[in-house]
Amino acid sequence: MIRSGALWAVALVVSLASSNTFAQQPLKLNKEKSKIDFLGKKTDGQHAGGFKEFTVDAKADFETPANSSLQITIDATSLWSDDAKLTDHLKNPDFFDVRKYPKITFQSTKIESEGEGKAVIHGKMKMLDKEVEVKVPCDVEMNEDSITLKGKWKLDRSKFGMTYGAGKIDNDVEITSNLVFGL
Amino acid sequence: MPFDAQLLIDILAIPSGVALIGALIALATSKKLPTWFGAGLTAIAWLAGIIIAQYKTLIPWEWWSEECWQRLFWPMGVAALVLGTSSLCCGNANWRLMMMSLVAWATAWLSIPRSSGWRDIDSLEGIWMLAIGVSTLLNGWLVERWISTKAPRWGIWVLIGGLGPPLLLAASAYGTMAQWVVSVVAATLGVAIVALFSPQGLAASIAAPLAVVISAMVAWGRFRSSTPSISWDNLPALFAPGIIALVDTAFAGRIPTWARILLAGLLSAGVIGFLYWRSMDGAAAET
Repeated sequence: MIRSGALWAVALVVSLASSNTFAQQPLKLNKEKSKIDFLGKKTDGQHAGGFKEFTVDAKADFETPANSSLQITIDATSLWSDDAKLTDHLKNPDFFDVRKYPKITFQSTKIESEGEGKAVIHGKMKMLDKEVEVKVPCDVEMNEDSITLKGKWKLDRSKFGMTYGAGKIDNDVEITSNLVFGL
Repeated sequence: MPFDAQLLIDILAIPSGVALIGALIALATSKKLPTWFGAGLTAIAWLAGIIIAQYKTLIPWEWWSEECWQRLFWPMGVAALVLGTSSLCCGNANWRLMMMSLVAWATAWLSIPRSSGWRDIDSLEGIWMLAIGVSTLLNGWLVERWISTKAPRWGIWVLIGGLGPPLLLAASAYGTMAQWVVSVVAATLGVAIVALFSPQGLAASIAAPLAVVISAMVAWGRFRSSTPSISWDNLPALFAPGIIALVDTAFAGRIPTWARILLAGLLSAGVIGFLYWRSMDGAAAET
């Protein structure tokens, strides 16, 4: 989701910087340089994790940035964390229930410019069979051969019914995404 | 109150306390009321302790949860009532053994996860159900035989010791399932404490079949790991109560009571140690 914001910001930036006209130009994700991570906090510590496998379908409309779109599909079974036992627990029904819900999806619905190099991407995130509206602030970085969307935001896990350890484990999970697209 | 302290109260103190109070009332009224009533009361108190613990730790609470293992208290309740009361009003051990096996088997079958994400283990379902059936029959036969002929006052604690291996397996599964299993064992301990004062009475008669049923059920529960590999090393947990009873039968009358207690403890610890070692081995491989 973070990327979607960044992606859109990129689109905006590009549209301002270039006189070229494109209609929904697909962007190709550089998988090796991209990542989606999370940081969960609890009263006595924190754990880092993320997803190894995900696909991104990004289309940038450099003429009308609002027409750009971003769709992310995460393979929940590719979840990793900094502790092997925790990884197994996170995959179980207390958290992501990956056997039952193997996919996490995000579909952008609106992209807003927040000034140069910044954007906010609105979208619908579906996890654990629950769809929640989310808003992702993004930074957009461009160079000659790539566009990078960087997002860092907090997701309230309880909105998806993920309530295990409430009171001990924070509901807000810090999400960090770094999506790199080749030009 | 700190989260961990609250959790300990919810999954340890409440189920054991409720079950113990129920069994105490049953024991106190056993001379005035029919024995089936006391056994039924003990079973209901045992189940009530587990349900309260589950109610306090599962959010949101559901009487018929989408998650199948969270519905297990229903067949467990039937098992406790049927097996507990039948052991006193219908003394046919063979009939009780069949019922015990059937209930454990049905409970295990109900706990099998069946959503589309579990298709990769469908082919193992048959052999697992066979293992459950065989272990329950064997455990039931050995434990029944042991209780009726050889068991001293501390015998009930050996049965509880038999819960150790499956408890370890379930505790290493994941949070809410582990909490649930701990609450089941805590409630069983509550009944077992009362059974010490009435080893041949209603408390003992209900705790023994429950120990066997829980053993089979909980061992099955461990197969519910999200990692796609299945470890057959878990099988000893299914047979732990029967193994302990069998070995004790062989030594009964030949060694002093303290040695039998020690032997039972060592056997239980041995199975736990084996499972722990295999568990650590698997974790290392995963890392």
